Amino acid sequence: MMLHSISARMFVALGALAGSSGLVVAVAFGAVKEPSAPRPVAHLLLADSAECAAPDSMLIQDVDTIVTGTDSLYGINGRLMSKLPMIPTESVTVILDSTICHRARIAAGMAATVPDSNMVASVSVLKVGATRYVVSPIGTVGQVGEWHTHLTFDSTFSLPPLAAWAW
Amino acid sequence: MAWTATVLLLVTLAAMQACSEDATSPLRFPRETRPLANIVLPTDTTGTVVFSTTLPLTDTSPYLIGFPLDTFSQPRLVQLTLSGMIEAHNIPGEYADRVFGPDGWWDQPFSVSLIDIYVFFNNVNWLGPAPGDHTGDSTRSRIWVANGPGHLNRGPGFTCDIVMPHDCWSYSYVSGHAQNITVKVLDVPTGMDVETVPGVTLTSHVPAGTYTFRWAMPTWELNAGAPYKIQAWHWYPVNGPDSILSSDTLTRFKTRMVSQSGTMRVTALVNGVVRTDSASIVIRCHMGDTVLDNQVIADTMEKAWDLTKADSAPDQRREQPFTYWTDSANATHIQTNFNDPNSTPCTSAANWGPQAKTGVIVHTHPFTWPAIMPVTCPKGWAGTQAAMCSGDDDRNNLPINAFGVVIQRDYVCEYKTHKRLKNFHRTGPGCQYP
Repeated sequence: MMLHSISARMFVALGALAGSSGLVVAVAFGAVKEPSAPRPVAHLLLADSAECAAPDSMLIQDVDTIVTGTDSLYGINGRLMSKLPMIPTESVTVILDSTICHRARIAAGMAATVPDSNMVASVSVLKVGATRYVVSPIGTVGQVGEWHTHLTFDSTFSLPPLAAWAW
Repeated sequence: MAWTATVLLLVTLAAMQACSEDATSPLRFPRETRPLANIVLPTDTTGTVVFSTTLPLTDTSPYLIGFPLDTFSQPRLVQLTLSGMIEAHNIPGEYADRVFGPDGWWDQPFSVSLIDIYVFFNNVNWLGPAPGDHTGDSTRSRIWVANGPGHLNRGPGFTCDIVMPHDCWSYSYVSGHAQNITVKVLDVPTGMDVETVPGVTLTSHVPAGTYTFRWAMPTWELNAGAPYKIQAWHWYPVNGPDSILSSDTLTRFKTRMVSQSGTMRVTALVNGVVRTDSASIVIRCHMGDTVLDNQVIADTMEKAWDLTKADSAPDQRREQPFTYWTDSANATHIQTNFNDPNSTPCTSAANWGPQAKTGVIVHTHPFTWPAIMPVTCPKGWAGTQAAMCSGDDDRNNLPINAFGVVIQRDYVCEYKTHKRLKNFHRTGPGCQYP
């Protein structure tokens, strides 16, 4: 059985493992244990479809900062900008489910200024709490100069998205 | 003919008497030591005409010019303008060889007294180099400080050259032509500026230090003797109590040690009118970093921000980058890459120089935080809001001991690779970050 979602912290810990061993990891977990290691930079290829891409560890860090931050800049204003709730980082999970990724990909394309269901080929998805998804279009389609676009959807991927933000 | 000869004799005698007047006599009209140039006021000079009239053609009796007595209860700067046709006659036979040259002059037969000061309009007419009788039109003006009631005297029609031996001339008015006098009270524009101690270039944000606030008048007004009295200097710091500084009524400079941003206000009685003006100074915060507190770096940061044009239309905005580093020989370098055509509101590039040892890479984001990104940024999702440091900022591979700085409208973000060091609002307590 392929695990379709994983704690973001565990995800980046696996990234550290992959980064140190040179392996591409695709494993199943019976239980999730919180790692204590710092988050690495390396990407982790753990997707189960072409529409799913492993999230950049920086994205996970950024979302963690937003949902836990108490400062006005990245915490309060970050949540205001991204429409994400204040929750523990344990509630941020990496989504690798192909069905969710497919819905996220379509929703991201249809949310564009010129709606196009084929505009986005693949996405990285983070589930934030029970009611939010952060969807990051992969590739140049999501790139805005030095910024990368992220979309916040509700749990049903309703349009328009709750927020479009760039980091 | 006898009557004409008698008149000429009287005029000649009067002229000769004028030439030998006692210099200390209160009745003597003081002469200028050299001809006065016609007054040319700055084009933006404004004023209020308080008196303008056409004088009788032949009456030479004194006139009280028409402004109310209380108009000049305070010294006021006025512009007196006289115009009209006059004739100048040399005395036949006696001064026949007198040639008017560039240094020749005579008084237009007007004088205006303001209290006891007579204002002359010397060299008011240039009739030509040839000797003999001349008729010409004259319009001349002069700036003078008026104080009290004014009187106008139209002279009897003679004057003498100041050059020895004196050449004396008689005057008459040309019948049928108007002569006018206009008195205009001039506005005296004033302004406040800030001067620095020598060697410091004043920008919008400056380090704490000693600064001189100057209450300024245009040079022409000072030269004309525009009357003023400094009444008070007030210092209004952005934090803390206001203070009234000691004042010398004529000293237009006030030097003060400035440790925080504030505004200096001066109140002065200028040209009979109470005026106030102020100048603000913004003190740059101490950033607590030896690199960023460097005056050159801070000035360059401000310049980068100004060029960013964050408040302009989106298509005018640009990220502006520069780098500063110390090389292996401890030489410092600063390299700007301003207005690079490849820069957009959402991206820019700045390269490290060779042998980067320590330093900072700085670039601007032409918006505040949080804010919707400029519409000129290429993007597929309208209304995208931007964070403060971008993901690429965080991912930048900076040299060891180097760090990055992002300047946005309200905040500054410092970062190293994969780590934000500090974010702070650009307005500090009584100071402003670059």
